[in-house]
Amino acid sequence: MSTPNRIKRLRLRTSGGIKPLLCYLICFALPLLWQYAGLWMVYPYKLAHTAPAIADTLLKLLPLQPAALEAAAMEAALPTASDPSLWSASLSLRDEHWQLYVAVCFVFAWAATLLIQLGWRIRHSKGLNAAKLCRHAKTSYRIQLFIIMLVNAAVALLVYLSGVQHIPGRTAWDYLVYFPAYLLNVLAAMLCFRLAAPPAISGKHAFFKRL
Amino acid sequence: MRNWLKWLSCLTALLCLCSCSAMEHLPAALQPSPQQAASNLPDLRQLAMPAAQENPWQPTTAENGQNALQVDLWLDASQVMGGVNPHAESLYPHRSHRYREGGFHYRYENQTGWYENLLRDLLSAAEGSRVRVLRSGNEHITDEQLMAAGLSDDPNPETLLSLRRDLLTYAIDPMPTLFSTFSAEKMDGSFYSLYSPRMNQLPSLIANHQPLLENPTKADQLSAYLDSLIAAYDPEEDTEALVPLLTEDFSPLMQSIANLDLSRLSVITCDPLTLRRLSGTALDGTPVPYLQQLLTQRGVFDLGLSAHLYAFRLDYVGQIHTINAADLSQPLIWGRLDYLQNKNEIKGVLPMPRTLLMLVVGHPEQVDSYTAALNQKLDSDPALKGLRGPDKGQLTYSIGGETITQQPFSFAYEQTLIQRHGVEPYTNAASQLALTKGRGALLTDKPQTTLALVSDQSSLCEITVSWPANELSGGLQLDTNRLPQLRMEGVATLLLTGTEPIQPGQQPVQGVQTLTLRDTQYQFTYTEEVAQLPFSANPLRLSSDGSTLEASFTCNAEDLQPGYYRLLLRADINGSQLSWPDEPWIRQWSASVTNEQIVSWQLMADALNEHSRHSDNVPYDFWHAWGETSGDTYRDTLIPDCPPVWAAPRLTEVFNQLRDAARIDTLPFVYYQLDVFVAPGNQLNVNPQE
Repeated sequence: MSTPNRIKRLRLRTSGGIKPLLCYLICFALPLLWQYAGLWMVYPYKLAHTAPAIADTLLKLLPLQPAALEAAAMEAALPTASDPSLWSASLSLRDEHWQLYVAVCFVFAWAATLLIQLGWRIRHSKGLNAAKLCRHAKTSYRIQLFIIMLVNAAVALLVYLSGVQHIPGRTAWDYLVYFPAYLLNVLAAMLCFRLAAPPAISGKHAFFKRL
Repeated sequence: MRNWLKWLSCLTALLCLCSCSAMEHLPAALQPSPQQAASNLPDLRQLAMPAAQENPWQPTTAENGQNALQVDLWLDASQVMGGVNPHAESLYPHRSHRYREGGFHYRYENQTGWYENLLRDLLSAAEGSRVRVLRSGNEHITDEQLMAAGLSDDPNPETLLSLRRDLLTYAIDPMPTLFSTFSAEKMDGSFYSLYSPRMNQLPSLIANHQPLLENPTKADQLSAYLDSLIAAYDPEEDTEALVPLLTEDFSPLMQSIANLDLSRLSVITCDPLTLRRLSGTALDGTPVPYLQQLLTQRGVFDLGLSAHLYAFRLDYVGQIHTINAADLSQPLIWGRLDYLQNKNEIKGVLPMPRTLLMLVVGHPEQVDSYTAALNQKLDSDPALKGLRGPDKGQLTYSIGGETITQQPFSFAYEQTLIQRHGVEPYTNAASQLALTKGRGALLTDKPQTTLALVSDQSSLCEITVSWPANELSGGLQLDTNRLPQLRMEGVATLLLTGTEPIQPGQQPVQGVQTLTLRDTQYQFTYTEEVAQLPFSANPLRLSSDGSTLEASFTCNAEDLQPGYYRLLLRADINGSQLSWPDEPWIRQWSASVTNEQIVSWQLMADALNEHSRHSDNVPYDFWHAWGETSGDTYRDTLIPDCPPVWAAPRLTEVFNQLRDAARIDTLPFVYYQLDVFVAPGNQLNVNPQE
């Protein structure tokens, strides 16, 4: 027996779930692909042997000094001896450490962005009063987007301060490889906010579009 | 919406302000690093310059080891050495009681010459070694004779030398008593006779020491050949046997050197009167120094061997039939028995002083140890102490119209070591490298001496290498006003030869080192064919106090290419720029013999030989050393001065030729190799203002 006040459960078509999923995949894969391509496809051919001594920088920054990081910093330190093979190995290690560091920073920002966005989506997927729910979601969207921008900006700033600023002779390739992915993170989040919002707050002509 | 925008704007502005404030308090690791000039080159410290080759100029050293305990004792067996007159028609009979024979090896009753004691000391100094005694006389056995006798089918010079050494071998591992058999009251058929039957000692050697011969399988053939030579010699008729004595470049010394076994220590005795001529003249007029030529041909000094020249003052009683190139038909009497005038009563022997030369040839260490032992023996040998000779003015001779009365004399010796120039070259050892102009740094942790120069500078660079000035070894003198010319050679370079964009799948090229920076591959090519160098060497100079030798070179930094230059600073010195140390004793012990003197001695000997046949005896005036009346005439022949047989004629020439043979054409005086590494200043940590 059903009561007249009971809200009828929304019935979604299968295509209605796949499209937001595809939207998420596309939007959040793009910055990942960008950063991957930048670090492992562009870097060896455009930025080879330009890496700063990031292990050493991190060692100075972190209050606790992990043994592995100390070992990495020692390996990547420029040798006091003039053995050319040591120099070459040291520079190669620096490249590896730097690529790993930039990747970790980015993945952190990317994951944080995705989590914030998904958290917003989960919080606003249910509600009785659609108008009120939509209004709250909109306000929350602006705050979350701002937070996402802050997080990405902070991580990008960290990458710049800890490494990029120490690279001599920086070119456009440096900035293209290290920073656009953070912007793509924000754009991906924004697109997902607006195009892949929960059905409860989205509509054809609403603020949050329904795909 | 507007409120939100206002809030966001305010928040962003606040964050920016906070950020700006926070930036000032960032940890040092996040602060901007000191501005570094962006280099358009990769880190050149990755370049690997191949290791430098060892100094190619290494003096040759003789082998020292397996033959370390083998000594060859080459004894001069010339007739003048034994005081034997080989001319049968000469006035003085060989076995005359009055005119003794024996030369250096004379014997009268129990008294023998100091030479025998010297020989014992020579043997004693080689105690513990395997000693071979070889007889080097005036018998000349040529290669052609050996081949014709069927002793060898192999024309290899070493084979023939080996055979000849076996033929000349007189004893192996002898006892000191061996030398007593060389002297006798009668010297007929002695060790010093021409074609003496004692030449052939092979039968006893075959019986006792056959395995120690160089050609044991041919010992019987060699013995038979020697017997045939001895049997064929007839002193009355066989004048051909004397031909070698007249060959100007033949002497026992030359024969010994020509047949030396260079792997052994060789001790060679030499009567200086047997040295007929030591130099001749080629058809084109160039002088031909025989001894020097022979030493060079045998490669004695090229092998790193050294020669120790001795001169001994010994006592002598005998008949001197040859004085260098002078072949006297009538021998000169030098020393005699002491007898009462017109009586047959003999009181003793009156030896006269004469000089014997000796060479010790071998590996420097062997020569040093042997000569040290020998000197000790000579200095402590009681048989060599005391005075000998006429003590009552019994024996006189004349020089320049003055009569010289021989006084008693003692045994004495002088010595000099002759070895190849031992100039210690100025190399990387003990050197100091400094950059006196320009910017750069010395890279001390490289295996090769390396100086780094900053490529991005426009100044003139001057690099100076200095050494503490060495004294030349062996007392050699160098004229400091004529220091050798310093020159610079490029040994190898590893320089930037091209760039190309980085592309996937690029293969490394052999001999090319590739460094990458950003999107560019920088190719550095190693080559040992260096065409041009941007460096120029300055003249060598000595510091004002003479304590430091400085070599410097300059370059314009703008002309340098990034990479490595391996440079060789070199200054060669030739033998003519070095003067040997003076050896005053050579002048004191030597005597000069001119052709004019030789002719006058031969004329005097001929006159005595001719006119003595008409009388029973020579006049009393000529009983010893042609008497005391030089300047007068004898049968219309001017009586010459007594030949300087007490000294060592041609000693100076022997000495000079030994030194000339040891002299080398070219020696490295400065041989300094360094790498110059050219790189941007930020890679060298060189202060830009430096």
